[in-house]
Amino acid sequence: MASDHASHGAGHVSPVSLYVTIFLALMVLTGVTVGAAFVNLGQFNFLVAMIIAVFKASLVIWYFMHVKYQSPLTRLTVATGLFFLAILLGMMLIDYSSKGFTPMPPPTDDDSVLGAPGAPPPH
Amino acid sequence: MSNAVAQADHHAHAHHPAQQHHFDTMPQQKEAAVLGMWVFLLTEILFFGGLFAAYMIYRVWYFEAFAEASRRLSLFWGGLNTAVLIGSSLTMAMAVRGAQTNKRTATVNWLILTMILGAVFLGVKVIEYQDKFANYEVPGATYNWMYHDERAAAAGGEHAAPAPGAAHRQLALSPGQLQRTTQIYFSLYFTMTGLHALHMIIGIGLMSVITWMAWQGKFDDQYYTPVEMSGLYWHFVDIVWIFLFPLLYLVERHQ
Amino acid sequence: MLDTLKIPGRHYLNDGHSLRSWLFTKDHKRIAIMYLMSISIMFFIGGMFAVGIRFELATPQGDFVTADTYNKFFTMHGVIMVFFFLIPSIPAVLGNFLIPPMIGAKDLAFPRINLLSLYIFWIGAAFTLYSMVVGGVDTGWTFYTPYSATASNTSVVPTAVGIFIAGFSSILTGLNFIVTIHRMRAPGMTWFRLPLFVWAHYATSLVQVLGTPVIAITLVMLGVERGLGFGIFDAARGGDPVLFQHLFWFYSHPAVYIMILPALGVQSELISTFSRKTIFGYSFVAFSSLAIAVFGFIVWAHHMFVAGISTYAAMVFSFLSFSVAIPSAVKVFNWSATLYKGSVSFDTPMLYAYGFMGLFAIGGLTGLFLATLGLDVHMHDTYFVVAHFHYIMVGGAIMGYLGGLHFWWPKMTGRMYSEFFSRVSAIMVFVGFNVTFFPQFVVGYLGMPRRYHSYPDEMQVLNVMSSAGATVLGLGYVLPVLYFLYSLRRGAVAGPNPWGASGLEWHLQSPPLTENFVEVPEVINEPYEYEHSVVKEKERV
Repeated sequence: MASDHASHGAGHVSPVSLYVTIFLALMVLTGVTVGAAFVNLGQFNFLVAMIIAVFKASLVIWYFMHVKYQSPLTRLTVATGLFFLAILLGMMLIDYSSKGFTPMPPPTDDDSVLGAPGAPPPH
Repeated sequence: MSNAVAQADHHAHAHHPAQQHHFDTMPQQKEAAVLGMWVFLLTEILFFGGLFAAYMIYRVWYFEAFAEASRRLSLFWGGLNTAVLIGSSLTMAMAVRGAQTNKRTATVNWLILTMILGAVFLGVKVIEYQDKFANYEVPGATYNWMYHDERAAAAGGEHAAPAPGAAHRQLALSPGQLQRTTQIYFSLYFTMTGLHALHMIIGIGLMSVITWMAWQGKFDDQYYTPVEMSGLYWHFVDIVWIFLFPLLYLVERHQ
Repeated sequence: MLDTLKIPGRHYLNDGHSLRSWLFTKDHKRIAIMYLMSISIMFFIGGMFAVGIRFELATPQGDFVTADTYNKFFTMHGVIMVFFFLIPSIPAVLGNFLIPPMIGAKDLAFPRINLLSLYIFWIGAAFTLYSMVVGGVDTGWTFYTPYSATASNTSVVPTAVGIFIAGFSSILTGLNFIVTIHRMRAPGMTWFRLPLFVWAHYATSLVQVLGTPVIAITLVMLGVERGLGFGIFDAARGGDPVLFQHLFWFYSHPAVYIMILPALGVQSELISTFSRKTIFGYSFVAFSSLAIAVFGFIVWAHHMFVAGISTYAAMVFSFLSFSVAIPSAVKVFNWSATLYKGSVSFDTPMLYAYGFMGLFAIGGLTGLFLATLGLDVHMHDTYFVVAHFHYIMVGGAIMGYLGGLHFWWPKMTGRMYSEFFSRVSAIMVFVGFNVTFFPQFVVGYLGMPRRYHSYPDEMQVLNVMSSAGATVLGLGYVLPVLYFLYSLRRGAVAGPNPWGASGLEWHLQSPPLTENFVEVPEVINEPYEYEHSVVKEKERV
């Protein structure tokens, strides 16, 4: 057989209580993320929001989407997607984050010009 | 012949009616479908990934514009939709569970409930979009950043509620700059939520077929792959929203 | 001898003769044949634009067409060739036909999705051909903003829609292959017994499913900007046109590997079969395919060195671009080592394989020139670039495609084509190709920019050479159509294994049964066992 992992019958049937728990956890985390947005954490607002979102997504993937009970290949597929998304975002950031290293002409006061791309807009 | 080929018979046991001819066993067929669906979701990650990449760059460049424009979205409707969508994920998971445990009526009911919640989400989205159209906040030739505040001011002179805190926020960007750069935010907003909504419409379409099939009694604990596949899809759409909500609605709410 | 071989009484081609039996088939082999016909038509449409380009460039003045028409010529040439010929070529035709028999499966994992991908391809092609009929596109196949988003008044949106749709065809093909290779292998067909053709397609499929969605979303963003007036890349509203290039090349650089990786897989099969030796360094060749697929995703900004990306990022991408040379070189060295002391023959598929090795090496090495930061500033957007990528896409991908088609044609149809004419055609393609594109390296190095319909007088000699070579090349491409079609009726019966090759697909009758295998086979041999067992001499006279 080609399949290196054989599941039989109906696969894993999760108890209803687990699903309800996950649902409640997701609702609470939604509340937390909204609440956190109204607290001034400076740079960390974004980080907190993203950590909560990643955690929520992980709950959905792990329990609702049954990845917990799937073969390692399924987990590898998910990981591949995230890895290449990281490549897309990370390699683009290499460009955008280092643009400012090169001296640029000073931004103009002219309202019609936003300043050179790459440099942050005038503050 | 260089490759000796031995024959092996894997057709000893009786076939399930849903088993296709080119698969040897039901587990093989199911695993192929699960893997195929996950590979499809992999492409979806990268599909939305392109939008997230654009969002990331512009949010850093024009943070203030993003923060200002983000406050124009209604936290009430956005939060409500998040709750609705998470709820629909729960009902979807229950529908799959119903199929797994041979409960035909329960499967159909949970699926219908999921579709109703999906429709509620889309209805709320229509309300939100209408508000954007009414306020000239759709990017393009008619876009007018100032209209929202002007209308609020005109509506009730001393009435301070429409733009809470706007007065005390000192903005570095001039109205002209906001007029331009907030359009980038709203372009991304409409593209992201629009594509997300499109995915939901497709999901509801898929589910109506699955519901009909479930009603016909096509599924049992040996074969419920279509229910499970549409479930995976629906949960993925939910995950996209889990990220869209803080990125679009909660850029900077504390000021 | 000839009389002993007969076309089998029952096979996939005579399993139903109605149009319906083709259009609603779930048989991967019939779908492959329909793909073959579709992409051949697209190839000749794209080729007509190439004829127009070379005709215009025969003289320094723009006297055949106007500059605007010329812009449309090279754009349509690029769009059709890249998205509607090269990307589906080997995977959708040869991969579709061969992967199930090679791994011992009766069909791909999702036969209906396979058929769907063909229909989607047709719809995408229809949109693109529609835009061609109503006036064409002039943005270049790269659709760079802001020109494509705001300035161009040609039919950008229908073309983009066509490419968007065709992209899903590519995704579905890749998805099908990945699942098939994971889940449909016959008992005993372990990963390291897979033919290298299958490994190459696995790597290709990864690129297809990971890259294509990004071009899809990029085209959506371009579409909403052009169609609805949104501003995502619009510099007037603070958007960044270079962002479009980042997203575009995130797919379109790996897309080059969608074109070349399957050709590398074909090449491994041909070299091993026709030198009658086990492939040298099987696992290195297999993993180099995966390495190329992954490295292909981290080099894209070498297309953008002069587009205004940061110097530091340019250095990183330049360095990484060199890394792709490593797995590519691993392959070429291993093929050379396979040929060494093999009993090498000169059948038509092998002629293409020899041509491939040389042209791929030149194409790859000139790629290193362009990956070099300082040199690229000089050569960017010149004919040097045009020559470089044609060495890879035409000299590599199309040579591999034609070599594979000649190799498996007897399996697909049960009949042999003309030995003489096929060798003539292979030599014409090789000579014609080099005469066409080698002068372009020179003319590009001298500074002739790409995408211009006129050029200085002193460059005419080289351009006339190029146009003359293109004529030979074009005839070399027409010839196979004639002898392939002729072979369908009059060709000698090929028998199951005319080349004495070792793959599982050669154990089937030619043409194979609809279900490929009557019983599930069990594989007990290692791949490419030419040396350790008695191999029959060629069964063909």
